[in-house]
Amino acid sequence: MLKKNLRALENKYPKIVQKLTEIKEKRKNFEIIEAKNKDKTVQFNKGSKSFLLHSKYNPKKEAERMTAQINFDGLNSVVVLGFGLGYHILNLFRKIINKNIKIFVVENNLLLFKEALKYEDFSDLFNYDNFHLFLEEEMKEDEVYKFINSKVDLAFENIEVFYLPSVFKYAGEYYNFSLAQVEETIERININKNTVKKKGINWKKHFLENIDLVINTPGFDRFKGIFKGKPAIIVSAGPSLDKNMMKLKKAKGKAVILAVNTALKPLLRNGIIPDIVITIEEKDDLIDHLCNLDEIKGITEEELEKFILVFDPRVKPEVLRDWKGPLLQLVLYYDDYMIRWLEDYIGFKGRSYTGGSVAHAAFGFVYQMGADPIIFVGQDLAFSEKNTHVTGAPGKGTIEENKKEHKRVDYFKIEDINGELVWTRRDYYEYLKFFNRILKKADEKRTYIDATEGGAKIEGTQLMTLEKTIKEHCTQKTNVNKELLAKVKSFSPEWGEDLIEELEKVEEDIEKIKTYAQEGLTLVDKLVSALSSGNQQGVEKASKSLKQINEKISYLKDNIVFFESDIYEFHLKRNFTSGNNFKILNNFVDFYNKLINGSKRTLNILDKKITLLKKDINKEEC
Amino acid sequence: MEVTVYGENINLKKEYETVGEIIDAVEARNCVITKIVADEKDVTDFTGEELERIKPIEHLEILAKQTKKLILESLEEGESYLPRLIDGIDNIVTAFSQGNEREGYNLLEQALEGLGWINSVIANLDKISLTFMNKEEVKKLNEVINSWQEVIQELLDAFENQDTVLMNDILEYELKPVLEDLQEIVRKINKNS
Repeated sequence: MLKKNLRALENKYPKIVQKLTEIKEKRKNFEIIEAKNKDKTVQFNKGSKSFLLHSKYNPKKEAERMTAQINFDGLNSVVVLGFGLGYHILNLFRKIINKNIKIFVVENNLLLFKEALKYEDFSDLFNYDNFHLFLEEEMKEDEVYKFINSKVDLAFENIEVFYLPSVFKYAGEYYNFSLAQVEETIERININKNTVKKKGINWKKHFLENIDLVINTPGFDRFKGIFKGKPAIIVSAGPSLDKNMMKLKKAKGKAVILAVNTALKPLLRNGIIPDIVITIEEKDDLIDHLCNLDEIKGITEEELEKFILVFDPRVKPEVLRDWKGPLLQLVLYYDDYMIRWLEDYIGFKGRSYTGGSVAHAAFGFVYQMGADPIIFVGQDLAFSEKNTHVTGAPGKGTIEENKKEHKRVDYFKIEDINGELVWTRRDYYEYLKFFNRILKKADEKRTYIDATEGGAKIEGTQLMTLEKTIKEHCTQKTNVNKELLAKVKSFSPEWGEDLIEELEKVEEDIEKIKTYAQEGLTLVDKLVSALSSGNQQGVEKASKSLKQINEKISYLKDNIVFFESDIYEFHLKRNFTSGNNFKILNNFVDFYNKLINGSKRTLNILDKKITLLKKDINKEEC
Repeated sequence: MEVTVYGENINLKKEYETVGEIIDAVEARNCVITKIVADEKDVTDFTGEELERIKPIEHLEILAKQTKKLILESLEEGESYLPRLIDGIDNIVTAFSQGNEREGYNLLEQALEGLGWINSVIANLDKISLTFMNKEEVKKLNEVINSWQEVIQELLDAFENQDTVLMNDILEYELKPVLEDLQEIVRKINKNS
């Protein structure tokens, strides 16, 4: 049995199998004993105490009881803490094998895991595509988080976690740490779910609208390291920026000054011209932040043409079209199916992490460009006594106004840079936590300075006034910004006919989806009338055809990604097909209508983009 | 001191000096005292010493019941309580096996109170067994009492060790059958009485 299980495991986890083969079985702190029903169970010894891992009467019955608590309706993933002898996992596997649900297993005891492989047949489980195993005696911070995160949909994954309760007795610290990381994953997904619900509709639309720019502009990946050893100042729009904004003039030409979109206009109005602007915003008010810059007194057309805009492909399209300077892509690690698809034809352009705010994206950008030190200005992550943002920033106001505007947001006080309490908001606090986390893992050889002179305390940064920071770190003239500008401007996109062929193929598939959805609507009508008249034969016939239509749509489902935002609410329904027949049919009518509308809109945009790209390729050939 | 005994027809002819003497006299007539009231004050839970300190008592009222009658009454109650206790065990087992330790311990605490009460019923069963049971049934009763004692001890050991898997095993595979046997015995006694 052991050999059979190891062989199956080896296909996916050769290193684990090697470890299991080499492991010495001397230091066992458990005994395998026979349960009353002849299955095996485990007795653990910890000091003078001993305890059972599974029932000594009937471990399989116990496993059934454990998995009975899981609601499989709409479930995508189950995380299991503790493999033990695997009874509960086999029981779970039998329940999900045809449901395409992922199983993540976390176990710390290699000897016990190997022992388990001697008694039960796990080969089908190990060969299951959706089986994922984390088998490590020690766990580094975030390891379980990463193990799960890399394999789930970061917005629409429904995850259940369950555990072998007894594992907390022999490795409490390990499993509590794992549980905290799983819970964090779930929490982040819930936050993302809300973000995607609010922003997702725009993201997909904008990506499609921006697709020609994504194809024809460079990604940051090819310029990695270009700022190596040079200081970079990230200017955010926190209220403290009022205090020290004018000092930035002294850093001009001696550091790369990168402004987030909200800080740009306040800077320009004060005669401070950053080198780069960054945005990841999909909202309409991005137009207020980044458009009509030529109306600002003292800003010349020539200066605007030198401005690099670093953008995520999902930002408001009008802003990119209006931008006078060169564009540079910064694709974030987030729901990146469409960009991955596109990269097959245009090449990889890099990926940067996100913590939810543009300042995180800015940090990710300068970090990957090699900047050192990285200096934060206007990064309050909190409110000042009076204001929420720097003077002149779009959307600026007082805390009271902010509270009125965001009634559901949680406001509370946290420690500021002076050890006193300062007001913040739940989302700012989450951003702060993310900064604390990434700075903890950031390159220790580099310096991170918080020159905000106010706001929340960011762990891992040195506190310094902006004046002192510039005096100590921005001492030499640098041309790295000009170097980057020249390289971005001279970028020549690399793609060919195969991209256009692919886009046309997508068009064909979306056209089919539209047709199938229209047929679906007709079939629902037939089914409703058969149900109403009690025509059983008619019900069966229409149901069968409906099932076939849904299978055809499902086969083409990868193409739905282009208008997925239209059907987000269906992702959120865990019980789409539950309820009485009429409720289900209503759901289907709604679903088909959304597919039809989404298809029409996507086809319209794709048509225009294909025409545009064909012109590009013709120009090239001429 | 004027003494009135309710519940049973007991004539206390002799003059008694202390409450303790009165209690002994009532209990000597195969009765169990369920309530004591001294000059309208409930003193049922008073210790012997505390009772001695209440002096003088003008009127002492005692509620007494024949031991046999009391046992039979508690057996009637037991017949309706045992199925609930058995069902409750399933809930404890489910809670522990699904990792809901807090819920499991809360339910177990309630069950332990019930088990304590069952324990007192069992302790009195031998007093009436010969009246309402045949020899074979008495033998079965003794086996159940022995198993009961062993199981309760094992459960307490597992409880102390916080081994919830073992607790579950004991509850489901050892205690539950004993309770079911006990339920059968109680049912028979109630029927025969």
